[in-house]
Amino acid sequence: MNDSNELNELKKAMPYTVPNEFFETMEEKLTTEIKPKKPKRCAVWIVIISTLAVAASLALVFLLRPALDKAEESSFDNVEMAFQPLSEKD
Amino acid sequence: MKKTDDSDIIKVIRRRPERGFKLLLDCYQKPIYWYIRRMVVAHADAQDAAQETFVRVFRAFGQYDESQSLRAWIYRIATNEALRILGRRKGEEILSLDETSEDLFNLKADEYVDYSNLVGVQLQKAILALPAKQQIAFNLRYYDELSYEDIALATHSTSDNVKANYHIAKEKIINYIKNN
Repeated sequence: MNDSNELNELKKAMPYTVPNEFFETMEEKLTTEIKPKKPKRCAVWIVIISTLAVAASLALVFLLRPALDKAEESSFDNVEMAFQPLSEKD
Repeated sequence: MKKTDDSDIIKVIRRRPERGFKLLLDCYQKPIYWYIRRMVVAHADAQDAAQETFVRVFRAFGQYDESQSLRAWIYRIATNEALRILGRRKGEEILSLDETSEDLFNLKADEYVDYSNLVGVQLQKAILALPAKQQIAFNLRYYDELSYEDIALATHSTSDNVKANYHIAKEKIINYIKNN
């Protein structure tokens, strides 16, 4: 670069300074900032498992409901029978 | 230590972005910080603008056109960040290239300025008295030794305009120093 002597004499003088270890700290901050954030796989799986658990519970309730109703019915029959007058057989 | 070539940096970033970015920082962190600092003067502002520059470089790298100079592309982003800081001080979104940053003329009192470096202070005052486009042309040519073509790319200008701005700036600076 062919510059004038006056500029060459100035030797790119600059009065600015920086705090100690400034560039090292800045580099650390930047490399942290650009790191890809890990996807929250755990949270996604928790939602999926919870949904499946709720669905399974509901399915179980619907499947068992007729059996539960029958059990309830037969217990009621037993109570009613207890109050019936005794038959010849009894 | 052998200086990493821009083409090597690009190759590594494409393959291993984090490793490539570290290489890019090794080459450009200091030059970019000092380039911005010479324009905005205050260390805190230069720090903010430099960090923003590198974050933008990393995030926009997918859009970087390899037919253009990597150096010019990075300096263009840095120039915009510096002008944004200067513009904000004047209540504008971004400082126009024809404006001066007059409020910096007396070098804002800052613990990170060595006022005992009289030559340095005088030279910076001379530079800061110039319109932004002449400051940029001068700083990039004199301190960073960019080619006129790269400076033109960094400032959305032409090589001829950059050459003219640089020579006008040089004459004004030399006159300022002789008269002060």
